[in-house]
Amino acid sequence: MLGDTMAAISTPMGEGGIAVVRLSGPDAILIADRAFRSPRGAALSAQPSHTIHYGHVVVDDEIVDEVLVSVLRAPRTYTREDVVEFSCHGGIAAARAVLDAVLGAGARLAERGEFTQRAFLNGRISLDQAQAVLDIVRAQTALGLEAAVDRLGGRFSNDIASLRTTLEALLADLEVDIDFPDLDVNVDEFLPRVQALAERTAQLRARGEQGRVVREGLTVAIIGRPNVGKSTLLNALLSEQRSIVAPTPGTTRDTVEEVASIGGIPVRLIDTAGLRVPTDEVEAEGVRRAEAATKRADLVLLLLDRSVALEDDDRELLLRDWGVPTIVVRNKSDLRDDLGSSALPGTAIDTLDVSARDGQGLLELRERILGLLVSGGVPSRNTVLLLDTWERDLLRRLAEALDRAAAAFESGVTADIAAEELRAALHAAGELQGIDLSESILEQIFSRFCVGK
Amino acid sequence: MRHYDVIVIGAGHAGCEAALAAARLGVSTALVTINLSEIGRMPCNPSIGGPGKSQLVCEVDALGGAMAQLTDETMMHIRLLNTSKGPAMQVRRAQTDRFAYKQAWKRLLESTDGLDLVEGMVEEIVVRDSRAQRVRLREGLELSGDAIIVAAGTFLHGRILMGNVAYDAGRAGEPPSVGLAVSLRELGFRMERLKTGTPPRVHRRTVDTADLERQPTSDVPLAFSFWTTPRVLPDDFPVYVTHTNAETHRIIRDNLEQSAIFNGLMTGTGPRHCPSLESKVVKFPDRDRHKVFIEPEGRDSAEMYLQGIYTAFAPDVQERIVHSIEGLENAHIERYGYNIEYDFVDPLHLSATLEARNVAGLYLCGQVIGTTGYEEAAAQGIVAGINAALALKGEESFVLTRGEAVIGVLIDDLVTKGVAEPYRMLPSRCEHRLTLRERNADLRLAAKGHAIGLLPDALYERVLERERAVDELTRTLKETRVGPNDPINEQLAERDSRPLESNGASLFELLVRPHVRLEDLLPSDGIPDSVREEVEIRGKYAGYLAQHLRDIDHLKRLDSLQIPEGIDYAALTALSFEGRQLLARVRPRSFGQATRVPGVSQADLSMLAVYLKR
Repeated sequence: MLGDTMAAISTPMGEGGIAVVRLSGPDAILIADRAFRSPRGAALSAQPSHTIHYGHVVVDDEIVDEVLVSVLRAPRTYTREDVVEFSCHGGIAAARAVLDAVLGAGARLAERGEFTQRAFLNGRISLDQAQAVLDIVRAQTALGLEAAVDRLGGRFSNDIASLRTTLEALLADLEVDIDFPDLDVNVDEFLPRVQALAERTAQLRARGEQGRVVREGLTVAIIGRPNVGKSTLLNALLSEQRSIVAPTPGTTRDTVEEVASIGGIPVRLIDTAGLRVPTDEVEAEGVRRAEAATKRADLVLLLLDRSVALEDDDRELLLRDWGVPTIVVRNKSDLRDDLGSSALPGTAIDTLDVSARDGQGLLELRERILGLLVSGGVPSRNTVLLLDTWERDLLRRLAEALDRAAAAFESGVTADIAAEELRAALHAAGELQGIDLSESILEQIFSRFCVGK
Repeated sequence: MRHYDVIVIGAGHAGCEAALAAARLGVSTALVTINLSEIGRMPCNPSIGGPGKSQLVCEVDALGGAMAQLTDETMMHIRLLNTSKGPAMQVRRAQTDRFAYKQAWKRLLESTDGLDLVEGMVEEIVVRDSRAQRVRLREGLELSGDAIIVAAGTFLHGRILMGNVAYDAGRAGEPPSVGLAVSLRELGFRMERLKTGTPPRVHRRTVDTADLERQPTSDVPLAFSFWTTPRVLPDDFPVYVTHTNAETHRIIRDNLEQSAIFNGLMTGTGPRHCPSLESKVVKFPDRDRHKVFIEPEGRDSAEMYLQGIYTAFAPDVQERIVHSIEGLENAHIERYGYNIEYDFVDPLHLSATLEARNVAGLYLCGQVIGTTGYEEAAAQGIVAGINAALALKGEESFVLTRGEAVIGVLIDDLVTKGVAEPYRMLPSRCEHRLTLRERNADLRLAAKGHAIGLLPDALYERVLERERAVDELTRTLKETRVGPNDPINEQLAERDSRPLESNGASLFELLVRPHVRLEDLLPSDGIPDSVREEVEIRGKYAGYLAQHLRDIDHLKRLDSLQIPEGIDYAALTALSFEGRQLLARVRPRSFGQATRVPGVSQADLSMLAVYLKR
């Protein structure tokens, strides 16, 4: 009902057995008919819902691909609109050709996540589920995928629901005292109860922060003077050859970026050109890019070659403040240690010996990277929470309101102010759950207190 | 056939305020009641005010209603409640002389120009072309009216129950309204059943108060009305406090089958905030006692009201229960407690003006639409009366929002959420309760009451004067800055408050600090307490009040997105089936109201917003 008909390849790009091109919208079946020919000449529009048909996709009477077509009529579809799915041969070329054919027949190319958006707008899935589906679509690593699947199953909702119930009971104790002054309510232990709630909220926030890292990933810049082994380290962390690796200094003229999965987190590794006084223009450009790379990094790996003595270029890099956590990596631990264990100049005290060439120390390096980047320890499937910006913001509001309520109890201000903060907290918890809480406090009061007058 | 602009059916707390407001707005008004001697009767607790309710009384006062003034005139005992819970939560509660209160209402109504009292029982409301036209009385009289306000309380198919006995009655000693109930049902109103209860009344002479806790009347001058001079009442009519005990509870448990509530006689839903004693004992078996307040009913009456013992037990069990309680061992019960069941009209039939959406010119207010409490009734009565008059004069209707008044919360709740049990106002229902205080009701609403034409110029001028004084004192406090060397730091230290830093602070800012009072910062200088208190609250709660203003503004934006009256929810197939059903039942007038319909999901609201904006 939301207007036009859209289409997209809805299986991942790449080599696969089959690819699916999906159409959704009021004219999905009409458009599909224009691009489809059945051997027996039957039109898709004449077919019942939820049936599969064999045939060919054609453009100007030319056969583009051999396909199986599913006809799915509204409302029992993913988007609640009419949907047609072409299962065509795998691979980019075939899927692309089928997509072009349906676009040519009148469909519009869907934007990323638009099918899910329609499913939400058409009321088939909740905002929370839509978010989880989009997370699955976007998940870059296995851990992110698992967290998204958990989200779809409602684990976060359970966490919030449990927190909200405790908060409700606390607020009811406070409210009943205002609503029914003749009741002798025991108003003890408010402070520790609020503090316990604040602690639980802080844990959720930390897990949400991990989720942000899991979803958005982190950026690590690898710097060092030429030929200390930056590209080798990058490839070792990626476990495959990507950069050009050669023993001649200055081989990496440009920055190279690759995404590695470290502890389940997508980490964007930037291999920079060697940082030293440049000898030519190309190299100068590389150095500038490397410096730019450190500016957008969450962590810097400063690479030294421990098989030779410290050079001036090394010293200069060690003395600079990169503005983010920095690990000094003493590479080539497979060779003789000529750098010595004497104190290095500068403030970065976190040093580690590795051999990028044979993998020695890499496991520990991965752990240190995670340790520095992810607060609350290394994320696991059990702790990560994938939250959207608005949810993190609500969690923050919840935490702040609880903190202020605790402060109110500590300073001995009157119940009405503490209640105001707890109400704000409850409101935030309710918004996180997407439910209406206007009657919930009264429910609590009437189920737990014997009131009158 | 006699014709009136407005006909009000029922002279309880809703009907009286409705008739008074309509007549004062200059439309000819008839107030029809079954019994002229029972105008403004308090069939339950002879008390007015308390948390939530007191705000309603003062809002009615600020709009130009009479409840607060008549309470001040007839009260025997008054207290300030919630004094330890913050200045914004403080409310008044009074024990009135309920006989004097009735007299006062009758006197006021009979002296109001353009208002006729008519004794008679309305049997039928006649509607033509979906417009209220006239009423037919049992007595054979017919009155035609352009607007008809139904304020029939608990009278519709009223039925009193106690023990194993049940008989038809509107209230104790008065007949029920059967014809009117049938008439409303025939007009298409959904009606269900509610119940409520009263406790026994005992003779003062037979109560032994010697060992009971005594609650005296306030020793500081108090009044509800903004137009009455506060006074200290003689402490002649205290309230006494006693408790039920193990023996009381044993009698109750052993005799449950003799209570109409537990023997299957009762079918209506009762209020959770005011349960019967037998329900309390059954529901909270761990409580070994419950409070009982012994309250005076009137100066010229020996009756004492046993607040807390609402019961539907047979009379002999009531005797045993009462006699098991300390101080009441020899008490003589003059009137037995009873429960009453009655029909009420689903308030979802009404718009926020309290006009029925299916019958133009027909208004309903008070207990007949599922509320409980005199204050709630009066608040709806004045709104119905104002709207009936304004509509006849062709003027814009009068609706208070949730951000403006507790009355707004009350009516919005009723017409948006409906009722499942008798609805009572409570502070926890008000999301902006720090803003909607008892003592600023005049500053919030007097301008509206005056603009409508209900609040006289002289009274409104007094509000403007207070407003000016409040603004002036606030400005003084904001403009007076103090620094680390100011002697005020000693004062702060006394209040456990940290000393001022070099950049200093205004006196107004210092008010935010816990334990710092206005009297610490500024000598009273003859500024009235009513002004100082208001300024102190504005300073203390400044951050919260500012947040409320933002929230209220947000609410206003949502409410400004109107939903067409004829919207066909069945056609909005993008909404869930459940969401469509819920919205079709309530038929919210604005998107803001739709967001408050219980059970409608965020996804459905998003879709509705998309639809409305297209």
